Parts: sequence; structure tokens; C-alpha cells
Amino acid sequence: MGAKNKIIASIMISLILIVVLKLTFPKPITNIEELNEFWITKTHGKGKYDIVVCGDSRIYRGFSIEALNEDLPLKYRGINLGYSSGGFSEEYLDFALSKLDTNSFCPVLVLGITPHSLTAEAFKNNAYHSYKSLGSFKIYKGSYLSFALKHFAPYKLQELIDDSKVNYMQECHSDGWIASSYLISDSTEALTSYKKTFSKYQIDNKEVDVFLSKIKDITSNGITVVAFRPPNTSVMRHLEDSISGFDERLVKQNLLGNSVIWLDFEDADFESYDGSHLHYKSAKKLSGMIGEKIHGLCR
Amino acid sequence: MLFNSIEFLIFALSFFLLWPVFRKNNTSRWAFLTITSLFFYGWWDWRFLFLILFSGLIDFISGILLVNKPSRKRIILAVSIIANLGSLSIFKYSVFFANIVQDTFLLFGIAIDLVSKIPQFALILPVGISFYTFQSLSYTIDIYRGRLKPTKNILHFFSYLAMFPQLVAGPIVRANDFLQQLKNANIPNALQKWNAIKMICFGLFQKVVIADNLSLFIDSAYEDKTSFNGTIYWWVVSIAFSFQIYADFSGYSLIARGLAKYMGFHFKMNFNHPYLSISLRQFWTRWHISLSTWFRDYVYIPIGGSYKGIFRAVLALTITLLLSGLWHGANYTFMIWAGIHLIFLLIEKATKWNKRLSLPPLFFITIIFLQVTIAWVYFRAQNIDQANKIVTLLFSFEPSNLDFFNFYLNNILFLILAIIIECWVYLKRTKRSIIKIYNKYNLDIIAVSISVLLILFFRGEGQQFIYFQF
Repeated sequence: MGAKNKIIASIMISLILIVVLKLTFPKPITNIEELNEFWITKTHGKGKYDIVVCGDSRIYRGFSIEALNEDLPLKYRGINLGYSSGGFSEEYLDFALSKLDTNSFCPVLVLGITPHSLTAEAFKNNAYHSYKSLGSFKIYKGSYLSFALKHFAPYKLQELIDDSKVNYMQECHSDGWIASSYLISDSTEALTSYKKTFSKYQIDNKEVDVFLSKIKDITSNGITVVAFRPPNTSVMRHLEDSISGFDERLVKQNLLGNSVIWLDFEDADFESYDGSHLHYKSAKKLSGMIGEKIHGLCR
Repeated sequence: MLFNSIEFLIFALSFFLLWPVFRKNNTSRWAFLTITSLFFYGWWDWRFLFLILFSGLIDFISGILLVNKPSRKRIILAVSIIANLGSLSIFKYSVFFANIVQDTFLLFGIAIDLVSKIPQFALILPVGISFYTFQSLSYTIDIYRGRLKPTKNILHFFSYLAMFPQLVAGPIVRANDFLQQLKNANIPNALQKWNAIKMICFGLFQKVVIADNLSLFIDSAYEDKTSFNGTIYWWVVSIAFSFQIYADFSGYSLIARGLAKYMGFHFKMNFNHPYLSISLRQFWTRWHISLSTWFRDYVYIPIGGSYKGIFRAVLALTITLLLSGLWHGANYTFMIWAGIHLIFLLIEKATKWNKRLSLPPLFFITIIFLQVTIAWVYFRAQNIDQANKIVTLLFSFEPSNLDFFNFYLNNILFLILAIIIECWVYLKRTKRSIIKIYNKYNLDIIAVSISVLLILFFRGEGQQFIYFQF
């Protein structure tokens, strides 16, 4: 066969293979192009909101604006700005404030405070920075080309060979929430990695002081700040309290002293699928409960 | 701009759309190549364009002066070498050398702080600096040696130095060969185009399917993000890294060669299945060939090569390999990597064990692969302590939790695929009947089509090419 025909034949066969694959294979369980779009829109979106929620993965997996609004007579515009291993650095809080509509009748900043979010490692906000510092083409690509790229999201070979190994289910929502669960929950899974993490990083009191001073500035500017510790398993709570250097009573006291509204939740009322993050049903429940409180404050 | 990105796809499509228009005469061809290549480089960080322009201008002018002022040849060459190696040292080695000076002073009880005084801009490593510096250096050295006539056209020179396919990670092309190619408006025929397409597809396959799918498994091991440990685990990680770095770099070179071929140029082969080598000496003739031959021609042979006695040969080999280690990175781990190769090479040279033993080639291939794999541990490790611990584990028969096979199954499947492909190449090279079948049934068409499918739907998470950091 001549070279020219070989080129034509390879194009034809490639197209046939692509069509066959798209028709026969299920959708990839994690669509990385969709995830990319999710994070880029979250970081570089132009919207302004009544409620901005901040925190780490326990927040972006554990807080739904949609669920917050579900039972409320008034609908709030909100965004979940949680990032993986996020920490409350001044820069991150400034970013959150930039998304808050200060002309709103009730601008509220919601902080999901976990022990890890007050460590020096979390204050680096590596995940947030990785999206914030993206070049303009990557932002354009994530914002406007993902509708096409989504169809070419890669598969995991393992998922196709044996889908019984797939346990993680997650779904991106436009409000910044990733609804998550395991098919088979394991409420002790995260303990080992947290033990390892806190053997390396501890609460950084200097950074916490900077955080508290920033919060004081925010509340003095008339913005309502609501804070809470995301509920978890009692085993994880005990582990974190014993090895991270986190003193919830002290943090709560300091925040209350800075006009922050602190909310307490019972761990037993919620379910975690991996011992760290809330099952999506519990995330909805938590969001609804916080929504009621916020609505009560804003009324 | 990475070869495996949408940006590059748009850039390349635009380039090849306009290329037939501009390639017709020398000036437009060189201008088009230079401008597009500088755009390609500037996309990464336009501030470092000045560096490549500075380095290029010095060598362009040096080249002309070397011919016009023969009485000052040595001084002109020295200026060129100092300027090139100087900028390389500032950007690549300033922290490394400052640390050495600090440590030396500390031995005498004097504490000095040089590292913090290094200007911020010098802490950023410009992509591909080692590649274009060496390419630029070879130009002036060849003119000095009388093996090359300098070009008097600056666009001609920059289209050689900055040509985008090989600019940031090689292959290091020689002026001797490539300046001449650039003088002709080569129009590729259908066969050359088909070969170019094959190279680009297979190169992308190596990079995005093999290398990128292995990276998560390897990174989590070396960055201590996993609790897995033990002898078997580290052997699998180490073997995976051997294939990752090979697929990553060989993939880049193949794409670069394919792009050049589609333009009508020819880059020499940079990798020739090095893991099928039956001696370490042969490995170095098959791994990163353009760099190995560069060191051979500009370092090893000038020192004396193997023609001036055993002492000189050992000295030449030692200097060449240690410089090669230093070229890869400003870290002792690279020096040890080169040192391990040196020791194995000297043992091989002294004992000729691979020639004396009459065993099947597969035995030698396995031994050489294991030698290379152990050396790679130092290349990949974050520091010497980590590398020492891993190498100790490799030979200590520490039990492993074999659950890692399950946990990283997705990655390990691609390691198996990489091994199968190398076995297939070995069979193709040893069994003539396989080549006959391959050609008779046009299996290259199937291979290209499957590659395209895998590139689109089974690519790993996009990673920068490993060799960009060098």
C-alpha cells in the first residue's frame, strides 16, 4: 500500500475506533475535563455572591449552596470556595472577599474550620494557587473549550477491566460543591493519612493570629462571618484533637471575641464515607441547617 | 507550550498551514522559523527570550570573527565558551556552587551566606537552557576547528539554534548537518509524511499514555505520599521509573523528529531502544544519542579518548560522565548517578564479562537493565539519603504489602504495556518473520490508529516533560 493511502487508511480506522469506543464504553467515572472546568470556573468566575463558603476538601465536598437554599423562602446567591488542603491565609480570605457582593442585603462569609486548615502547610494553599496562577489560555480552555474536551476525557484502564474496584462516586456542581460518596463506606480509611499528616504539620499559632486579625477586620467592615467545625466521626475528632495541636475551645473563643457567629454540630447526626469527608446526603443536611441559621441572621 | 497540549495543537496546525507559503525562499523560511520558534519559546516565559538571543548573538558574531580574525581565534572561542557556560552557570548552578563554597568555608569554621544573596531571577531555570547552550557551543567550536563555515545570515543561524521542535529538550542538532538542510526548501513526499505522522503518534503515545500514566505511582512513592514500602514495592517503582523516563524523553525526541520530518528536515535518531542493550557501552550509544555524541566529540576525544593509554581513557571517561551528570542537574544525586555508570562501565571494560560469558542475549539485557535501573534511583530521588534508603531496600528483602498492585493497578497496567512493547521490538529485531508479517499486513496502520485512540482516551494526567528541567 502506498504511503498516501496509508495516511488515509489510518485516519479512517482511527475515526471508526473512536466512534466504536464512544458508542460502547460507559462515560468515564471521573471526567477530568469536567473537573478542570469546575475548578477554573470556581477560581476565575466573575460572579458576586451573598454567601461565600471557605475551607478545605471537607468544605468543597461537604457544603452545597443548592441544599442551603432548598427549604428557604428566600434564595441566596452563593459559592463554595473550598480547595484541597486549603488554609485561611490572608490572600485566600481576600480572594473570598472579592467574590462577596458587599452591596448584598446580607453578605455572609462562612468558614469551615478544620485542624488541618490552620496548619502552615494549609496556609500555603497550593491547590488554590495552582488554579489561581493558571495562564490566560488555560483559563480560556477550562472556561470555553471544555464543552468539546469533555467528550475526550480519558478513561482509567482499571475501571474498564474491573469496575467492581471503583468505589468513589463524585459529581461536580456549579455552586462549587462536589457531591461525594463511596459505594462501600469506610469510616476509618482517612485516619492513617491524617496521623501521617499531623506528624509532619501542626497548628501554626503565628498564622492563626494573622487569621484572627483578618477576621476582626472583616467583621468590623459589617460582613457577617459564620464559622463551624465540619462534623466528622468521633474517632477522627479525637485523633485531630490529640495530635494536631488544635484547641477548638480556644479557636471558638477567639472567633466569638471577634464578632464571629460560631455554630456547633453533633457528629452523630452526620455520616462520613471515609472518616474525613461527609457523605453527600449529610453534606446536604449540614448545608440546610446552616442555611436556616443564616436566614435567621439575615431576616 | 507542551507538545501534549491544546495550545501546541493550535500552534502546530497554524504553523503547518503557513509553512508551504514561507518555505519557498531562504529568507522567508528562516524568518518564519525564527519568529514562530521564538513565539513558541516565549509562550513559556517571554522574559527568557533575551537569554537565547544573547547566547545566539554571541555565537553568531563569534562564528564570523573566528574566520575573519584567525590570529585571535583562541580569544574569540574563549569569549564564546565563557559567555555560554557563564549564563548556564548563573541560571543552573549558582545555588549549587554557592552551597559548595558555603560548606567549604564551614569546614574551617567560617559561616557565610551566599545562597540568599543570589538574585531572584537567577533562581528560575529557563526551559531547555542546557540544550540550546550546547547546540550554540558546538557551532563555534566546529568553526574554530575548521570543520564548519559560519553563516553570515542571522536568520539562518537563529532558525538553526531556535527551531521549535528541538529547542527545549533536544535532540541536540549539529550546525554542520542542519545549517545545510536549512538552505534547501525540502518538500516532504508522501512516504516522509507518513513516517512523520508515525513518529508523532508513537512519540505522543510514549509520552501521554506510558510516561504520564506511570507518573502518579512513581511520584507518590518518591514524594512519600504513600504508606507502601518494602523490597518488591521499590523494585516495581524503580522499574516503572526506568520506563517513565525513557518513554517521556524518547517520546519527546520522536515528536520533535516527526515535526521536523513533516517540515522536510531530518533529525538523527536520539533513542534506539536502549533497554535492549547487551552492554553498558552499547546502552550509551542508544540513550540520548545526540548528547552522548556531543560529549564524545567535544569532551571525551579532546581529552584523549581511548587512544592514549589506559590512564587517559579512564580519565576521559570519568570527566565525560561526571560532566554529563552535572549537565543533568545541579545536585549531587546526578553526580552519583553518573558515578554508578562510571563504575559499571569500568568493570565492564576491565573484565569484559559480557563478552566472556556465553549466555543468551536476554541475560545480558536483563543485567544491563538492572544496572541502569539502580542508577536511575539516584537520578529520581530527592536527595542522597532517600536514594541510599531505596537502594538498601532493593537488596534487603524487606517484606512488601502487595496491596499496592491493587491500589496502583491502573498505573501498573501501563508498565506491563511498556514492557510488552519493548519485548515486541526485541522480537521484531531478532525474528525476521515478524517483520515480514508486519510489513505484509500493513500493521503500522493499525499501530498508528490504536495509538491515536489511546492518546485520546487513555492518556495520563498531563505532565511536563521530565527533560524540560535540564
